[in-house]
Amino acid sequence: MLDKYKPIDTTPTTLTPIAWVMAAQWLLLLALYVIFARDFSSWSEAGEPALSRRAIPVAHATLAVSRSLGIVQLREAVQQAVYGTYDKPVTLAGTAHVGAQRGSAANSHGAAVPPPIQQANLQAAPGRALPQPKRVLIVGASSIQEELGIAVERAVKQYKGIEVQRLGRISSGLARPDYFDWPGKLQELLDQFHPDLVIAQWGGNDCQSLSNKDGSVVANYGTPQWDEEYTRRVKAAIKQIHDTGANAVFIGMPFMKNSNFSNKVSHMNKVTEAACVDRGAVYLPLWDLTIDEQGKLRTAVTVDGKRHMMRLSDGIHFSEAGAEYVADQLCQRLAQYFTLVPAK
Amino acid sequence: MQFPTLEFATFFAVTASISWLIRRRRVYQKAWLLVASYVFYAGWNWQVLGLILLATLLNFGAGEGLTRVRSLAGKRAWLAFSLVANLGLLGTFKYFNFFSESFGDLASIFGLSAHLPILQLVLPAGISFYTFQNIAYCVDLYRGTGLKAANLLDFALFTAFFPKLVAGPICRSRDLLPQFEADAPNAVPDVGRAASLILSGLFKKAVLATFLDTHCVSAVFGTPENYSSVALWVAMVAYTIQIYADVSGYIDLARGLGLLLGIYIPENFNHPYASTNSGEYWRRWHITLSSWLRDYIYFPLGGSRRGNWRTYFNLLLTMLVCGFWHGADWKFVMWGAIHGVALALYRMGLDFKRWRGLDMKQPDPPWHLALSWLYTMAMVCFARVFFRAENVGAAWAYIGRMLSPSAAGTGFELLVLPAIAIGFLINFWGPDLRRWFIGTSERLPFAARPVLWFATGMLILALKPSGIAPYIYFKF
Repeated sequence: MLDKYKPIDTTPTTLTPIAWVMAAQWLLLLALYVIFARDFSSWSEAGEPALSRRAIPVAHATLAVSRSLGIVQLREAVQQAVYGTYDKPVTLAGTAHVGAQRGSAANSHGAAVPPPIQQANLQAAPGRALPQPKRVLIVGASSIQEELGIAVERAVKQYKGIEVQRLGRISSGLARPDYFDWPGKLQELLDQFHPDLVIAQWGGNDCQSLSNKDGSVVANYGTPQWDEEYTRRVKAAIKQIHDTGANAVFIGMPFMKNSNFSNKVSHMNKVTEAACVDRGAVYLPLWDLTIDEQGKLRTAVTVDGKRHMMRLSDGIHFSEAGAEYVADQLCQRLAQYFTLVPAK
Repeated sequence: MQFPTLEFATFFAVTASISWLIRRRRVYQKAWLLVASYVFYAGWNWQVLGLILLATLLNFGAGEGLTRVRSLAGKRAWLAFSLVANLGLLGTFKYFNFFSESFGDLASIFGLSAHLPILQLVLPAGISFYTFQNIAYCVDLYRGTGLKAANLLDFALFTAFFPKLVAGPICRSRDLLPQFEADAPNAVPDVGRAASLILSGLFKKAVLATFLDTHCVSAVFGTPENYSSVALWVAMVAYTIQIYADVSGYIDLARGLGLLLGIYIPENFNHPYASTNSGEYWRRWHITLSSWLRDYIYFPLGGSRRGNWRTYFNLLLTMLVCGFWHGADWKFVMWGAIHGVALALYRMGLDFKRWRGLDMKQPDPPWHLALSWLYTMAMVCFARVFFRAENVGAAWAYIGRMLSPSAAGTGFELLVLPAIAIGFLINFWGPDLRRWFIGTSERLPFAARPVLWFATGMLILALKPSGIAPYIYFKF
């Protein structure tokens, strides 16, 4: 039925002098570093501390050369043209979400939207009704695109009368609008979908220098300026959401298997939480759900009476069961701030 | 380290340069490549380095035992040792939690509670590939059809050679050991072919597969209840193209990089979506895996030599093993079962033709070929739903919704259609396109060729969507 084993043909058709190949290889590598200087810079800042200290000056110097040659700008222009085409899709053979009438203070059902929740009013006073969301927008990076986002969407949809739209984009965050413009995309989603609740999770890809849309660096990672600028970005996202009359909920980053990465996202969580408290958004932590009594990565969860691995082998993303567990816990925490009526 | 990254490009430049500089000291060159391979592997997770070292020592030892022992009983003992060791390592690191959870599920059916331990074990990248390769090495030595590694260094490099380490292909001893034993070439072979393979791999992996995943497959398979039935059909075909682009793209990269180090790595795909029947499909798709299954599962079970019904059973069992190899999940077993049934049905068709005395060599008319192609593609796509869905239940729900024309929801992006068309074009004419590219570059002056390759590479990377979809076969 199948062909018998045939040895592979290792007879070369051409032979090229080694010196020529090596010279070409190194020249091409140098060209790659100049063209992808921005990525080199991000990588050096996100790397292990020992490596970062050595690589950052070289990365910044390469970035300066690339910028002076106009390569960074050319690449940003090409990237935005290509991403612009990819991210404005024409959709066929479906019914898109019907957008609600946009009123300054009305939701899709014409009822007055309650004011964004102030942090001082986190717990309902006796007799005070909590707002009941009808249209929930979930945004974030790879976790929201994959298991966690799927699980949160399914968990939220189990409540009565809730419509959900979700957008997650791998490798994205608030740090690099030149790579993926979340403020722009968020506004587009707010304008199209008119949610009354936005659940956002960013941070996993933001442990790097913060740049503008044109690629220019605003603040280097690990500096007080970075904390200030990132806080401003989180607050700006909250303001964008609140300006449409929606409530904002930010989900924190979970504990990570890699201790260096864990320390970074822990700092990210503190910055995000402080911004949420200041601007009256809800902050839901994941840290306590993903750490065990010894302060290590929690390995297993029990879902429907059965034990499962909680995370994938990368120690970052959740397994299907882990995401289901976290989503369930998040909904229970959401219920402290919003009225969520089970569908059945 | 992943292939299309600056980090890997730097690693490769350093590795290749030093390797070629010390090529006249072949032992040192091989040792350098081995160290580089371990550094590459440790980049995934240094903790799994010990595992590949252990696997290397155990299998090299078994190989030495198999060739030194004369008695059949002794050979069988060494073969048993190598199988137990290899399958034990694979079973522990890849399947322990699957069996633990499945046992818990089974116990709960009987009203029992069974909380077996869940091991927080790192799944070593590529363990399925190098384990199968080592099993082939030992079994071939037992059968007397394989080559023994001249020394531990050659065998360690055979196991760990980094271009093919984490995602195949599954090489036989006859593929790589003679190349490692021979002197290093004094010039780089087939640079044009290497460049065309690398560019082909970049386009398939970084552009086509990533686009289909991030703009269609991931979203639709994630929450199919949000999408229309047409969107589900399109996503099913899109995933079929995505997995081909992803896997064959990685193999192209591996082969191109191997060539730049002077090593020929075997081909793994041969126009798989041109197949007109299930048997042909498995001769064209993941060739090294299907031939491994044939030689080390199907033939030992008796192949087609024990009657028709035993043949069908052997085919089904072989494909169940194939499914299970892909992942510790019942959905992969289901995927394997579908292919097993399809292969058995194909075999039944051939046996029926023979029984009726029909001319087996008579070529089929074009309409028959077209229908056969459609049927084969439909079977492959249908099985892919199980491969991609979260679990068996989700796969059936997906199929049910696909078959409900009234299912309303979001549609699919228009650009997905040309992307799928490009995938099919690459399947049919990819090698021809690569040959044309090699011919074109060879007509240019020497110094201009890298400029053409680099410019083509930059054009490809310019089309890359944001993010890189995770490589599908890294989980295996």
